Amino acid sequence: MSSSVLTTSSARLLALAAAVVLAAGIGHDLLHMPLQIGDSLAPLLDAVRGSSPWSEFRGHLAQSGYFRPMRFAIIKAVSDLSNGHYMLAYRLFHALLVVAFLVLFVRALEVRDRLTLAVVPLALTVFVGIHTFLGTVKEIYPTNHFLQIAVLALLALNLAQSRGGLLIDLLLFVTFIVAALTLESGLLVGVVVVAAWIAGMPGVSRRTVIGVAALIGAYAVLRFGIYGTGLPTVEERSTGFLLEPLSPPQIRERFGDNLLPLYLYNIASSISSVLFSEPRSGVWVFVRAIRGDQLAPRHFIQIGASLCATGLLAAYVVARIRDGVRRPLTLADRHLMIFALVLAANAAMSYVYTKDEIMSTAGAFYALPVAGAAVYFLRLWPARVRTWQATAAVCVLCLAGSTVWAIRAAGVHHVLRSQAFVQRNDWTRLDREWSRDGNWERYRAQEPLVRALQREAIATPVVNPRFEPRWMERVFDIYY
Amino acid sequence: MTSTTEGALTARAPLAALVLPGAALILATAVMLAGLLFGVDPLWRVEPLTLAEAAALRDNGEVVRLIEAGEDPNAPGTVRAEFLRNDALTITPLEAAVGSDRVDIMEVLLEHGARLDPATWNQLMCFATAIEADESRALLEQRRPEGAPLACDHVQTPW
Repeated sequence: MSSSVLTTSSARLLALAAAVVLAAGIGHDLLHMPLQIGDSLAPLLDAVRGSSPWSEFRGHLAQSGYFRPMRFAIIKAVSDLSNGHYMLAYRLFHALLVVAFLVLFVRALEVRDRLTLAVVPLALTVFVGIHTFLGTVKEIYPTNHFLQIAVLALLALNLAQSRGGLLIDLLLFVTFIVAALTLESGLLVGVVVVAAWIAGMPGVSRRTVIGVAALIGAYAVLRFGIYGTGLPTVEERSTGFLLEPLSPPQIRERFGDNLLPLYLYNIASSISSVLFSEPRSGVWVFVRAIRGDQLAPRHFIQIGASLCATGLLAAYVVARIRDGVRRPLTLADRHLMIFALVLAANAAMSYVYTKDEIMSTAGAFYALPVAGAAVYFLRLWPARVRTWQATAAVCVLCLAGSTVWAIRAAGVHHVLRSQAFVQRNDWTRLDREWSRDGNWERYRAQEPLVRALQREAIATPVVNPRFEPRWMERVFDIYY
Repeated sequence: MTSTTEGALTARAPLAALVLPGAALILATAVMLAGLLFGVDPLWRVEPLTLAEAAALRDNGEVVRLIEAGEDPNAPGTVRAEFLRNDALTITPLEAAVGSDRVDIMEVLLEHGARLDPATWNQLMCFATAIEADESRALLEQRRPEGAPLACDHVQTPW
């Protein structure tokens, strides 16, 4: 008995170690990146001159179109804790969140034996390699709220997989509150709780669901009733449609007042993006590449990897239905159900405009049932009658699928290096762009801080793309 | 090979195929992190550049960093072979920016002390015309010093 308990503990420790190693590699990249200007510098300056996290929270309760007071409170809290070392503080916060992200994911896999441990490398490469993961690491604003929500959603899943109880319920309520007040996608934590209950996770009871439902109701009353923030409209952002991004005026020109087709397209393309890596932020880049004679290996790697993983999920669903399973029985069944519901809800939330970053929570949950499906079929394999030809075919398929996912995961470093180069260059245009946008008038009193941040960013050593092997641009993902 | 061994291999082969690539990535990452303890950072190895090279390679940030570190934005410098042309060159940063037809680099250089007197302007304009660097030419037209003539007959351009 004690040796099997040790084996489970050792297996989980090794799985966590693998997660920490990959996370540390990404964190190492993040600590090399300068602070970015776009969508980041202004909120940082606002936070610095704010008086407290609570004042920032209260000051952003009535923001038109959005309801994200906790986001600004967190930005302020990090600013206060930084003791003036803003770049280091925000990058460190980001890196620690990435570590928490991967650790919570591996913890949710509930590794307990050699087979589930063996699947962890595949699971991690799917988790890190999916393009929605890039949205959680390549930018900070100056915190990455997409990452924060995805972490909170995984935290909720971990709590749902526990033994439950009043303390777990309270933690779930707090997790939901923090998430919902950080970003609209934070409501997905509520979806995770409800989905976990439907799926039969032990840590979620009827009481939990009632509590979360009450909190969702309170959120709606606060947001739409008391503070009247409304919802974002198509006039706020561009969005991809078919083969090109559309600006807000172009959206109105094409759809007029009948925006339903666009909304349906955004929802469908968000779902498709997670399952098949196309389209990307609403744009069918693969088709566009064919038409522009710009096909590169990365197009096939991304789509091929997703076809393998989603195909594995589909095969798992068929197998379970054939087994007569009509409700979730195993952890893999539960993960699949939760993923499906989170995917649907996440896609529905991106009805106004679609971006890969918005789907980062659904993307994070995608790898869970993929790992479970892999374990399921690997357990069945030894009992099957095997010819060497069938074994060879299965091995080729497994090797191809796992290799392309590993390539995608490795490509995260390439994207971060490319982003660092772009973000440092942006600082050289600060004067011109801020003069054009009127930001200098708004932040003139903080010019010394801005200049200090500019010097720090310019002094950050980054890799010039000229020195990267040319094949990387053709094999690894790029920022669309 | 005995049937038992063959059976064990065929039973485990798909697992190995699934595990190996991800495990290799994790192992490579661990080795990379371990290398940091010895000052080796393969992912963030930064190649030193001259100011002219930074301008040629569209590295706005490095251009500013070098100037702020004391580099003369008007002094000619080496640009290694294959960066702009097959051969190495000795050119000024502004010439390198025109050579790569990057107006943002030109603007950065001008904002940080690069001189555009009539003689320099004429030389750059002739160069931009010769290599059909249209965007550079447009910027130079906007920044034409008063009284600067355009005469390319005796002007020697980098290429």
